[in-house]
Amino acid sequence: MLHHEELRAALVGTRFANHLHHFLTIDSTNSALIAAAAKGAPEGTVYVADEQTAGRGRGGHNWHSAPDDGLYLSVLVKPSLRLREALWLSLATGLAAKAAIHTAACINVDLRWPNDLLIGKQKLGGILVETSAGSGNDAPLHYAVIGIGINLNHTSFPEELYPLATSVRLVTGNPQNRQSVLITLLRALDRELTLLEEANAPNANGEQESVLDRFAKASEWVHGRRVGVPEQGGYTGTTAGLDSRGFLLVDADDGTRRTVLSGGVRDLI
Amino acid sequence: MDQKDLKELQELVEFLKASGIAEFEMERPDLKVGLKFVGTAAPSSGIDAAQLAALMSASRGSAPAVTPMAAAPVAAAAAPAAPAADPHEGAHIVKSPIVGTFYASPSPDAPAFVQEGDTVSVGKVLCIVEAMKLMNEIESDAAGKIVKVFVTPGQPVEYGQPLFAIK
Repeated sequence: MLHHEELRAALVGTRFANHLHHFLTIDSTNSALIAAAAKGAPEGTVYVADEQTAGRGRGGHNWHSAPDDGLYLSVLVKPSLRLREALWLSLATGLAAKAAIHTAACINVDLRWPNDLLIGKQKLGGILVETSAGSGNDAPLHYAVIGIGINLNHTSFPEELYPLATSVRLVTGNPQNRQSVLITLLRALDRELTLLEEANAPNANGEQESVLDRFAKASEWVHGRRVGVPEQGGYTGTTAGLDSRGFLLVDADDGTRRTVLSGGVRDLI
Repeated sequence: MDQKDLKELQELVEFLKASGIAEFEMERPDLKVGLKFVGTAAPSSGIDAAQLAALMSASRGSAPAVTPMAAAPVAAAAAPAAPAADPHEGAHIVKSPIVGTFYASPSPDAPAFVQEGDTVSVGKVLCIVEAMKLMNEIESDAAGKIVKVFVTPGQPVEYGQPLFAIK
């Protein structure tokens, strides 16, 4: 159960306090919120659902969204960023989710670039960011819809997901309070968004540690990891840090250094 | 020159045109190219050296480093127009705002957002460019008819790379 008044009270002072919508069931929080954004929904709108019947991952993949066991939400944000800076929303959201899960359950989630939430080799959660932007070199971000799915209280998964997925409950042995994870997550996300805006403001002094540096420290995947990369025809190599734009570099086994642009990387073993 | 080289050269030409470059020369051990665009009226918006280098070394893993020529726009030559007139002259070029992967449709089995010949208005979604798992819907910054789609679905695109020509 989610207690709406308690939620609002706990989110006062963040951009998410006033536009929280709770659905018992929905096709996809991202799809619904994108449709609302196109009709002018305000910044800070949150769609949280007990169940998604057509939860989405990247590239048309489904997201298994069992009723009540997980946290499924999307937020609409309109930070003052150019699109190329807004790419870092992908990394910043992962950092927020990692911090929130650590606060709520005392477990250390690994971030697989750009934003898979892992425990060991198993996926605990995923993030899908969809934006609307103009074109051209300095295209402004119009809005971003950030979708987050976290497996909280699943005690089992469909057979095909079993080796790939886990939940906070399976890792800790304890049932999780969905409302408190939601509050912690939205507060962490609000903080990350503010940091990102401040770092990219015209008068930024560059003193804060960048999201790229923080991500590199928080992830076991940024340096020296053997990976397979499905894009560009597929290749294998060893990760070699992030470039200045936040893209993952891989020293490929053919001797070239490559940049992973879009999708993810996989463990080679 | 094989088919692959020819395709790369075509991409290079499109890129140079879109960047408003009037004259260009390059030399590699196996290939020498000289290009001159006659009557290019579009002002140079500067050239992305990284993109140029990427285009020129495409598919050649260890191609020698190439130093792009100075990007100062050369005054348009006054010579008579070449027979092959620029088919996109006067067209507005929609450029990619980020590095990423180009997709023409919202999902692999959905129809394309737009096709050549479609008329679009400002704000119409033209494509998705994906980077870092962000799916970015790119909106048109001009109204008119799509006269050319420069890229194919799944193709990596560079910052500033031409995606569409709209007239």
